Amino acid sequence: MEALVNPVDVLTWGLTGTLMGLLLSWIPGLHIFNLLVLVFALAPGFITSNIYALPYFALGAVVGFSFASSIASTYLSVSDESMMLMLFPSQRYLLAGRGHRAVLLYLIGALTGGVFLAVFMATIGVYAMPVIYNLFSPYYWFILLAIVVFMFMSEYPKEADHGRTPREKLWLAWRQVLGGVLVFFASGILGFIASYSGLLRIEAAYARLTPLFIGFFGFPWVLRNLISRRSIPRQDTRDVVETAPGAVVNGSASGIIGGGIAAFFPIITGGMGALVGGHMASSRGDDTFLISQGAARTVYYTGALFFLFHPTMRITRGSVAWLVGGVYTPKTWAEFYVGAAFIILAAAVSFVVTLYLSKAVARLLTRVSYVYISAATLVFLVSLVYYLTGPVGLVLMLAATSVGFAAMVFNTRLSYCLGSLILPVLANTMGFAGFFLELLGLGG
Amino acid sequence: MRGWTHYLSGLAMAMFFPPLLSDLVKGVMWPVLAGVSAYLPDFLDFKFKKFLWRVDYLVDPAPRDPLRKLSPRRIRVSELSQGLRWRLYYLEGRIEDVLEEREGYARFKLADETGSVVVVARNGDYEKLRRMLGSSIKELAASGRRVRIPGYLEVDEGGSVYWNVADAPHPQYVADAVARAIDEAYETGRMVTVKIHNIRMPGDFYRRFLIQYDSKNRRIIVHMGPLVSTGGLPLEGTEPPEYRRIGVAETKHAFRKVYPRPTVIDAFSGPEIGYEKVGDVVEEVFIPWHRGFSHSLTASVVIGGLIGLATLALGYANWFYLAVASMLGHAMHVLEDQLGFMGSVLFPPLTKRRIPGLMLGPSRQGLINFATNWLMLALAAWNVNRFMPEISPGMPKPIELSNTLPVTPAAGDALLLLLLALPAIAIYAWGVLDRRRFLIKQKERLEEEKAKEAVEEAYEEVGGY
Repeated sequence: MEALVNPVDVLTWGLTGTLMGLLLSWIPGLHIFNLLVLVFALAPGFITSNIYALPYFALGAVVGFSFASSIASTYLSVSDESMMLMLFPSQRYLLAGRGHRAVLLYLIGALTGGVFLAVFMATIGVYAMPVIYNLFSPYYWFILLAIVVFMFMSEYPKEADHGRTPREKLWLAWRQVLGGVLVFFASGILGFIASYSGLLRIEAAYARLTPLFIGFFGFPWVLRNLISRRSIPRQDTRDVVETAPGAVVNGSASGIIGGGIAAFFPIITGGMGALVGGHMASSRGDDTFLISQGAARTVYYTGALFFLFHPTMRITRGSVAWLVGGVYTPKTWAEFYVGAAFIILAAAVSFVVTLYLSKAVARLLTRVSYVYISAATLVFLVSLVYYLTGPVGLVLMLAATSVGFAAMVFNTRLSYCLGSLILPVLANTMGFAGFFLELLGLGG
Repeated sequence: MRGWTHYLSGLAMAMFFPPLLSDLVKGVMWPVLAGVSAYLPDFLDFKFKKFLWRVDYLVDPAPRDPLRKLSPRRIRVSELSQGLRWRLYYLEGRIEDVLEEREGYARFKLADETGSVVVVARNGDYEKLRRMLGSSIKELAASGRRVRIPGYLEVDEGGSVYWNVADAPHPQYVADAVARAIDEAYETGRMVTVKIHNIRMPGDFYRRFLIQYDSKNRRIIVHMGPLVSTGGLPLEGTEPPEYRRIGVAETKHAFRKVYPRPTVIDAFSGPEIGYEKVGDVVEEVFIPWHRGFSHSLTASVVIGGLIGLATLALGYANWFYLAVASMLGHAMHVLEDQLGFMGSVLFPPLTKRRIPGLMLGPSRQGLINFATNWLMLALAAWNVNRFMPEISPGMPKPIELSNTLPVTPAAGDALLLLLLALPAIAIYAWGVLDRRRFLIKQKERLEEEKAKEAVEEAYEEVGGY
C-alpha cells in the first residue's frame, strides 16, 4: 500500500534529522555518512517505521551537516575532503579573532545555496536536469579526468620566487607540483589497497574510505595543532561581517556552480567543484571564498541527496543517497516538492542554530586549551576509525596520515589525497586497473 | 581570463569532432590534450619562463626569515650598513641606555652580541612598541630582558644612522629602485627587469604597497598600505603612520605606463616589471615574460602540429582531429586573452611587441570570464546534442527543436545554438558598452584632475582612507 506524504511526518522526521545533524556535525571528522550509519546501527528499526522517515530524516541531517560542519573546520581545524580548500582562509580569520565572522560568511553562502537549490530544482531543474543528464552522462569519466589534469596544471608555485638562481627557482616551483603528483599516486595506491586487498572485514566495507579520509584530512591537522601548541586569540562573536553585496553574489555563484558540478558528476567532490566554480565565476578574496564554500557544500551535499527525490531522473549521487536509496524510491512529484520546501525550512533553522553554536564554541575556546580540544579530537577520531573498521583501519589511517603530512610538507593541495577515490575509478575506466593491481600484488 | 576558462575552451573545441566524442564515450581519453593545449600558454609562462627570466634589480623591502619564511628577518648590529636603508628587519638585544623617553617618543641604545645602535620610536610607533614590549623602555632597560625590535635603518639630518622602529619598510627604498631601473633602461637602451618581492607577515597577512607612475612630473611614488589578507581584506589599524607612508623618487628620463591598472603588490607573489626604451620614452612592460610567443597564433599551429605528431607516434587513430582541436584550443586562449587589457604578441616573428587587448568589460572582467565559460559550455552542449545520434546509434537528440517548432532540423540546431549562447552574447554586448564608458571616464580624468585623482585612487587601493 502506497503511503501518502503527510506534512506532519515530514516535519517530524525532517526536523529530527536537522536537529541531529546540527547537534553532532560540529564534532571534528564526523562525516554525515558516518553519522547516519551510526544512527542506523543504534536504531535498526528506525528505517522501517515509516517509508518517509528515512529520506526526510536524512535530508534534514544533510542540511544540518552542511551548515554546522563549518564550526569544526573554522574552530577545530578538522574537516572532510570537500572543505580542504577552505581551511586556510577560515584559519586566518580564526587567528585574527574573527572565527565567528568566517562562520557567518559561510552561513550566508550556505543559506543562499540551500534556497537556490530548492527553488532551482523545483522549477527549471525539473526540466533541465534530465536533459543535462542525458547529454553529459556518457562523458562523466572524461570530465573527471579533465578536472584532475587541470588541478595539476593549475597548481600555483608558492615559494619559487625566493630562489637565488633560476635553477633553484625552477626546482622550488616543480618540487611543489611533483609533490602533488606523489601525493595523488600515494593516496591512489592506498585507495586500491582499501578497496581491493580484502584487509578490511566485509562488514566494514561501507566505511572503507573512512580511515583514509580521516588520515588524509583530519589527523595531520590535529597532530599539527598538538605539536605547535597553538593558542587561539579571543574571538569577536558579534554578528557582523565585512563584505560587499558583490562578494555575496560572486561567492554564491561560484559556490553554486562548484557545488552543482560536485553534486551532479560522480567522484567529483566539493573541493574539486569549488576549484572549477571559483575559476568560472572568477571569485577572489577570502570573504567571497568563504561564502562560496558555504554555498558549494550545501549544494553539493544536499543536492546530491535531493536528486534521489526526483521521481523521473533516477540518479543516485553520493554516499548518503546510496544509503537512503537502498530502501527508498520516490514515486510522486509531491515527495519531490515537499522535499524542496523542506530544504528551505531546514536551511533557515540550521542558519540560526549554527550561529549560536559558533558563539558557544568561540567562548569555549577562550576557556579550554586548544591543545586539549585537539587531543580529545584525536581520541575521538581514533575511536571512530577503530569502531567502524577495526585495527586494520587504524593501520590504513596511519598510512593515510603520512600522505596527508607529505601534502603539507610539499605545500601542495590536500585535495590531491582524493587520488584514493579518483585513481581506482579512472584506472578502471581507462583499462589500467589490472596494471595497478598487479603492481601492488593484489591479483588481476 | 582564468585558467579554467582557457582549459574549458580547449575541451569545447574537441567536442566539434565526432570521432573524438566517440573515443571519449569508449574511455579513450586522448582528447583531454585539447584542454591541455589550451591551458599550455599560461602553464609554460608561469611554470618555466617566469623562473628563467633574467632579473636586473631584485627589490626585497622586507627580507624573509629563511626558516619561518616570514618577514622580517633578524639582523645583527654589525651587519647594518647604509645599503640596507629603509628595509624592514628586526634587531634582538638588550636595552643599554635610555637617552630619552617621553609621551609618544623614545630614544635608546640597543646592544646585541656584535655592537650597539641608537633606536628611535615616535608617535604611533612608540605606542605600538610599548604594547609589543609590555612595559616602558626604562623598565625594560632596568630588567635587562632581551627584546625584539622591528624597524629599518634610517639616517638623520646630521648624517648619523639610527634604527627607526617600524612595522613596515619605508617605501622610499622601492621608489628609488624603480626610478633607477627606468633611468638605466633609457641609458642602456635594453630592457631592465625589476623583481619586487611582496611582504609576508605572520598570520598569513601581507603588507600592501602600490607603485604610482607620475609621468608628467617624472616621479615614482610608492604608497605603503595596511596589512591585508590573501583575499585583499585590509586589517584595521595596520596602516603605517603618515611619515613613512609615501616614498617619492625622481627619474632623469621620461617614462609612461602602458598597462592601465595600478601596480599593487600584496599577497601571493610580487611582480616582475620590465622597463624598455621606446623612442624617447621608457615604457613599462608588466610581467615581461608573459604573453610572448607562447600566447601567439603562430604557437597555436606549432602546438597543434606537435600534439598531432606525438599522438600519431603513439598510435592514436584520430590524431589529425586531435591536432586540429588542440590548435583551435590554443588559439582560443590567445583570442580570449585579447579581450582583456594586456594583449599578446599575436604573430611572431612578424610581430615582436604585445598588441594591446580590446579591454572588453573593464569594470567587471569577471563577468566576461563567466560569459566565456558559458559560451564554451553552450558549444559543448550543442555539439554533444547534435552528434548524439552519430555517437550512439539509435539514441535521439536530447534537445530537438524541430520537433516542437516549425523549422527544419538544421535550422533547429542553429536556433538551439543561438538560444544557448544568448546569455554570453548579452554579456559581451554589455562589455562593449562598459569599455566605452571606461574610456570616456579615463579621458575625462586625464583632462581634469588627473594628479589629484591618481593619488586618491592610490590611497584607496592601499586602504589608506
